[in-house]
Amino acid sequence: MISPLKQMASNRTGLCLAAVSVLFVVGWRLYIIAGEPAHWLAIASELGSVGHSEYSPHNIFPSPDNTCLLYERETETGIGTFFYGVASDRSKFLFEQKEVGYSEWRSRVLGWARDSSLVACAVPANLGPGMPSEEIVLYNGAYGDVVGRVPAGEYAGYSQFTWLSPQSFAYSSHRQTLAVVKQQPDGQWAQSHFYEQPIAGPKWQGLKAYSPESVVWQEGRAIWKFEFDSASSTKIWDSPTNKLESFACADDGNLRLHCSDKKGQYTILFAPPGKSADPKGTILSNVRDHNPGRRARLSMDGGLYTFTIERGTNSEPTRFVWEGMVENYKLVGDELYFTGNRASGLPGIWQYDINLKTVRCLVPGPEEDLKYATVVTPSLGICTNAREKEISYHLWQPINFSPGKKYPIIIGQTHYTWSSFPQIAANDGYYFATVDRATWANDINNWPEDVLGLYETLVKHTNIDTNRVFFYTFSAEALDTAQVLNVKPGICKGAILIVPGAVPIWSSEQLSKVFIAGGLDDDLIRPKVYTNYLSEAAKVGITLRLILQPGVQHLPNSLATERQRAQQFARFLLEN
Amino acid sequence: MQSKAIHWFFNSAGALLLASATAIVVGNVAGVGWVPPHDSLLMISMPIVFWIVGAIEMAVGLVCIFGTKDCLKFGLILWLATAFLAYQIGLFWTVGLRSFDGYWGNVAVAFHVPPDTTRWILMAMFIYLLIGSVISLLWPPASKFQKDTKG
Repeated sequence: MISPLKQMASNRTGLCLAAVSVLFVVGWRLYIIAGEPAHWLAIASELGSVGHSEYSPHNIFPSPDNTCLLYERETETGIGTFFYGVASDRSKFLFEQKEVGYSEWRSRVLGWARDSSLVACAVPANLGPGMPSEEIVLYNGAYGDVVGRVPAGEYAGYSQFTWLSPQSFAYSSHRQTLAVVKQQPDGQWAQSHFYEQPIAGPKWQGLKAYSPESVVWQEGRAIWKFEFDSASSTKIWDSPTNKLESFACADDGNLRLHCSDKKGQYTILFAPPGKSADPKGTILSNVRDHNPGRRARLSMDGGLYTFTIERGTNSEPTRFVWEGMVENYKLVGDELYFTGNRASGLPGIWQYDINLKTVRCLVPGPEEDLKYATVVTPSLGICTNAREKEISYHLWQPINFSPGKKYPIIIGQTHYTWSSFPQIAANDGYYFATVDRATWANDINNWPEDVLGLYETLVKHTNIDTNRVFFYTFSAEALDTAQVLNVKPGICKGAILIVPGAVPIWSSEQLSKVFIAGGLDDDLIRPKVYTNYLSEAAKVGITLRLILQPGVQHLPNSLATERQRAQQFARFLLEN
Repeated sequence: MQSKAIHWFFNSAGALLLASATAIVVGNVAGVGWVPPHDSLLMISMPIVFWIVGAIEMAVGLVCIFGTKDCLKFGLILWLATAFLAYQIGLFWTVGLRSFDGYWGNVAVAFHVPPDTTRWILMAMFIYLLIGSVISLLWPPASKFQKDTKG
């Protein structure tokens, strides 16, 4: 009798066949892995760790005297607020709000004291999600050190804040009650008054200090004043006919009212009761004014961001063209601050001196952290969309480009700000092209015709593989993708949808590969929408690559989230 | 001669099943990180389906190569091939022909093979196993096997 082991060993043919077949499959997979670009995961990790997602806020708050600024930047686990001193050229971490349970209002820079000696921030005392417990933290304007902490139980999402003097401030609750906080003789900060009754109606806005003992605000067409001593609110200005756009308190106690009517805008200089002998106040001047004061505007001309800076004088506005991307900007005195990047670099914080017309980088991007990734400079192009309207676009060419080779392309129409996606695509051998939008909302409704126009322009390019065209959308941009496919079915192999506002069902003849990145804590697009779509897509034969990140809302709020999304995006590109 | 053919069939079936099981496991591992769809027939997550199918294929493949009882091999191959084809027909009946791409896309993606091709490779394999096992049963060695089991 032959033992089973001997019989097993005797079937050499079977053993050989089995070994060969398994090795063939494993070898095939290894061959695929070997053909992948070197360090693709490291490249995606590096670029994803740059942060500055195209739609995260990243506000900047320069001090009134231009000696320092506060800025927001993504940290590994949330959004951090940092202090930067111009003289010391150093950044200092102040506080962070974690991504899990993130609320935009819970940690916020409330404002600088007029003399730049202090800056106030709302900081969650209870760092975790759940019932808010806020405090107002005061930082020294020179070094960013904490000089005071004030429990702010009444602080909420709709709270307004104003400095009354360098030694006092006021903030409101969501019920329009008012708390006044003052520095005590011993140097400590404490609440001195709390007005329990609402001082204003629910539609109040623009709370400002009128004096150390009173505040003013706007309600519709009227301006109201609240005096702390009398604890009473008084209407000091009302115009039944003309619209009050905004107002400012001048140093001399007068109010500068920016109004508009059918003829346009004008500015009224108004001496309120108390300042004026007339108990109703006095209009000191009324000037038709198309130049309402110092301001900077950002526009996009021919694919280039252009700042137009008006300084409230009769001089010609200053124009500053920035060959790169811009996220956010603030004008303070003769300095323009903005977050953004040169076309060939990573996002940082920049300062433009209006008088000298020079620009310098205050806080650089993490260029030194890039070991494997190459930052690709996009080329600017002009074409017409499907309605013959001229549009500008940017095109990222694959690195190691070879003229005789065809490359897949990703096409979109989006806000022209830093994103890791075009860079990852170019590093992984894809073209990436987007029609430029100067702001998020600008021309978003033109998505279908702009993308069709860009597609028609680019397919004439001999190096583009027209069988591997992908659409790229972020959030609401996904709403109209189906329109393009209805007009031109079959032009697109797949779609890359980041937190898509809609997940239209396409047939797999139209496209077969879809990448979706979403957050499990997204209040706008519930995860159920994605999982339902996953089932529907599978039924029609679409290979859907879905990543749902726990603790993540609609917008990413940490480097970890950005990096994971970047890595999965790179994986998707390699698979296709 | 017939015995050799039967042995060749068992060996080839074993090799194919082991290769298929390896491919399914590799596809499953390559798909880690993505949210998977739920199988529309069994209502369970596709990676679980893959692990189950891969494990069964591997077990049957090993029996085909190393097993000593032909009756067991016939039975397992026939059962597996019938079950797979029935599953495919059920999937087709429920969600259509292209459903394979949506549910089994991981395997195709892992090997950079078009889903259509992957589908036809797997279908061809299981049809081969089905026909092979049926023919083997009907051939004289099968009669011998029936006698053996009675005796």
